[in-house]
Amino acid sequence: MLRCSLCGRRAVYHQRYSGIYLCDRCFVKGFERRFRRAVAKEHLVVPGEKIAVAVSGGKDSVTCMHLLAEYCKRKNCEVVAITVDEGIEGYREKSLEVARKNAELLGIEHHVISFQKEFGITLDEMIKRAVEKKTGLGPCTYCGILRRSLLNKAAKRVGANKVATAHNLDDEAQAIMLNYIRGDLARLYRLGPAYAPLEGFVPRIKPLREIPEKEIALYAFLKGIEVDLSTCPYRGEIHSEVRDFLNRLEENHPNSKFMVVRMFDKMKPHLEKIVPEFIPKRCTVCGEPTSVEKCKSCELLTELDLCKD
Amino acid sequence: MKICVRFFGGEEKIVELPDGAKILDLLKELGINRETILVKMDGKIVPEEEELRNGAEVTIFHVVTGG
Repeated sequence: MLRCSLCGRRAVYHQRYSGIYLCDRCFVKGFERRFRRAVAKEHLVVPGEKIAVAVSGGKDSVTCMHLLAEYCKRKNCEVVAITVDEGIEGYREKSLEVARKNAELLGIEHHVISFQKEFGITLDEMIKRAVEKKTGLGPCTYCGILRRSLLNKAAKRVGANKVATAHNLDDEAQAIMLNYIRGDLARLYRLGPAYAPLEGFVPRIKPLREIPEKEIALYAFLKGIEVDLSTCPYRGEIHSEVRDFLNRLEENHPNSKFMVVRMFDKMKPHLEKIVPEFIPKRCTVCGEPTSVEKCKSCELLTELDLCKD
Repeated sequence: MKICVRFFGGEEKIVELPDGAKILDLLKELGINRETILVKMDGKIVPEEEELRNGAEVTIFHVVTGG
């Protein structure tokens, strides 16, 4: 039996990037300490604020909600949960229920905002229409852009000061690599633990940004938190390839994901000089802040004949 | 030795490995990246370096899915 390097109890995890074995107690303690440290270091939560947590029902977002609920209790902050229901048959119903149950358990207000209600169509139907119209865009493009826009809308409705998303170390390393591959400097520059873009956008925070995805799952398991482990039927595209590449790299060279993110953090201050200037405008269709005439959401919806212009 | 492997979601299979094999050897045999899973052996979460025992029941949870 393998033993915890810190206390000698039965080990549950080998934290390869730090070279130690951990038991359930030491793992949970260390995990919660890292979360608190990350929030404090970047001043992600300020006393008196209202934080809207984006909760899908998956392990990352549900864990994030649990951790923030506990943290905010001590910091005199309010936490509300927001779930975006994209309308993915056979997938979202279950995770939505998990999100609802966890919010109820924590005594947190839970708001659901749906594609169907806001755009008059589900993501499933949108994808069919995109194929018919040969837009050449994949499900993740529609979902990512429109979900972000609805999340912002819902956060404004509930009067949140910030939106917390459950992006973890894996997500952040993937996003950095993806933006390198696409050569998208502007998007690359927006990455980081917090992002406050323009008036009209609720600032974003990522309290789990320095925690590997596998450890979030382990924490949820050990704490007995109910999460939905099913995978989105639309996952794929280049994201999956980058994720698999990073996981292979991490398997052979532990600490790789941390190094991708840390290196980016060191470079970020120097990017400011070369990132294209962002001139804030209002979308001519929906009035939301954008850098161009028509925001990306309205552009996508127009292409599908769904824009109310 | 024979190991009974269950995948979270229902699939089940028996894998034969030499004595002294570890969970890591089992993952290699199955072509699974250790960074993407959690493993329970006889109902307890264990590190992938844990040695297997004959007749052990191993459950593999795919947890790194990007969701």
